[in-house]
Amino acid sequence: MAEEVVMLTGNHSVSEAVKRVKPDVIAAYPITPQTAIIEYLSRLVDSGEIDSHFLRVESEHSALAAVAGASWAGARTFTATSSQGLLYMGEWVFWTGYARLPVVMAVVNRCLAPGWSIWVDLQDSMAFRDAAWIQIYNKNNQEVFDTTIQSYRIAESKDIALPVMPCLDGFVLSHTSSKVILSDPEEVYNFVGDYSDPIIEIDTGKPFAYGSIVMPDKYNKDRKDLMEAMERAKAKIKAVNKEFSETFGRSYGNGLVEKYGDDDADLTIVGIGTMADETQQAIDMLTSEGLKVNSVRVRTFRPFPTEDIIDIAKKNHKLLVIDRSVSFGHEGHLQMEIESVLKRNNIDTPVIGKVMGLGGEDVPYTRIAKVARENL
Amino acid sequence: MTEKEPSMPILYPIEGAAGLTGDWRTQRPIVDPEKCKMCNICWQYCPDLAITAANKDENKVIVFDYTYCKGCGICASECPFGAIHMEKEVD
Repeated sequence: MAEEVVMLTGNHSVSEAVKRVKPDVIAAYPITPQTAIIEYLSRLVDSGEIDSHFLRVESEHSALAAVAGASWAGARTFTATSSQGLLYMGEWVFWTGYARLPVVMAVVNRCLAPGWSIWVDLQDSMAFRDAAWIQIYNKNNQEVFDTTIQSYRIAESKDIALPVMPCLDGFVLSHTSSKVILSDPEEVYNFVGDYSDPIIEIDTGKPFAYGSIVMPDKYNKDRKDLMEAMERAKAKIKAVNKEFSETFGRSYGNGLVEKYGDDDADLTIVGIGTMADETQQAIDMLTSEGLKVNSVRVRTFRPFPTEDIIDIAKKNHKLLVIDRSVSFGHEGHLQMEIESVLKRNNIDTPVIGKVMGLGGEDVPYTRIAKVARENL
Repeated sequence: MTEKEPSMPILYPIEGAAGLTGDWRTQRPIVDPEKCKMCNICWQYCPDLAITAANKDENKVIVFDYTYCKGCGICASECPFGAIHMEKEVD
């Protein structure tokens, strides 16, 4: 079987990637807009197309607990969730990150209730930015497929050993079909490699207790190591992006950020997710009007691309940061991080923040262009 | 890139990980060899693995390990034959 070019939804792009990576254990609980990922995978398990153990569980809390347990046993794992389901998992999201388990969990971004809504904003995964998961936000279904594959390479590296959350916008990507190149299954599996030398593995011949009480010195040692692993992850994500490009001919900026337009602009629009992709159309429109604008898409939110943000802020005159999530009582998450990076490094490039697209609100490029004109 | 193992909260079982807990004892269990039926119920209940099980084949009753026995008295409480009683530590 060779490469295929198909029309595929974001959800099924995740499933097709997972199919090629061949996890040992999959557990999940249905929630809109994630459900189609798991439906597709359970069908593949049922028909024998993949040889994974599929655990039917009674909640998201159990779903992540189950894959974390399997990961401890040395298995390659996968789960997926959205919104309220992610919140219900909450305890295990932190446990999995702090335990350094290389779980991969697709998060289909959906806003939080109340009011009840099933459409996209990034409030759900942003609420877990401190849970020690690598978070990679995608712009289209091809990137969703590619990032899911890359996630295993990153998570399962011994010098990283962190769970990875590939994030995709609900409905805008999850339920919308677009052209996706599905790479050859064998080539994908070779790229990821098998997980025969796991980060941690339960051994009945040499039993151990995991996560029992520790004194503050050991606790701080583990947390410092976690912080260092997140720092190392930046280089790892870049290297995997580069190697992926050499193997499959597709790459996403430097892996951490994706720039669009000329360096040195009067205004740089910084965004995340599909809204940052939409921004590229706004840049084309504004450039054709003779305006000096460019854009940056933050692909990896954790670890945060501090060095790239410094470089971008130094080269440009003003930043317009567009967030699709907000910390109530403060400001948008992306704006918050960028302002902190600039302040810490004595860079006085002005930052303007806009929170747009909450609750699935449609943000067309014309509206982004309008906001840009107002702030030029 | 050199591979670095993650730092994790892992503990491997070792004898006496919490120190010589026998020092904590204010009373000690004493077995009456005449009453002990070698059923090993006390051995199952002991939370500190401080009892060596009885062996019926060799006619050996249970033995307490006073290096680690904290003197909690669960064994005396659980023994169905009243074969274990607690005595105050003298010093």
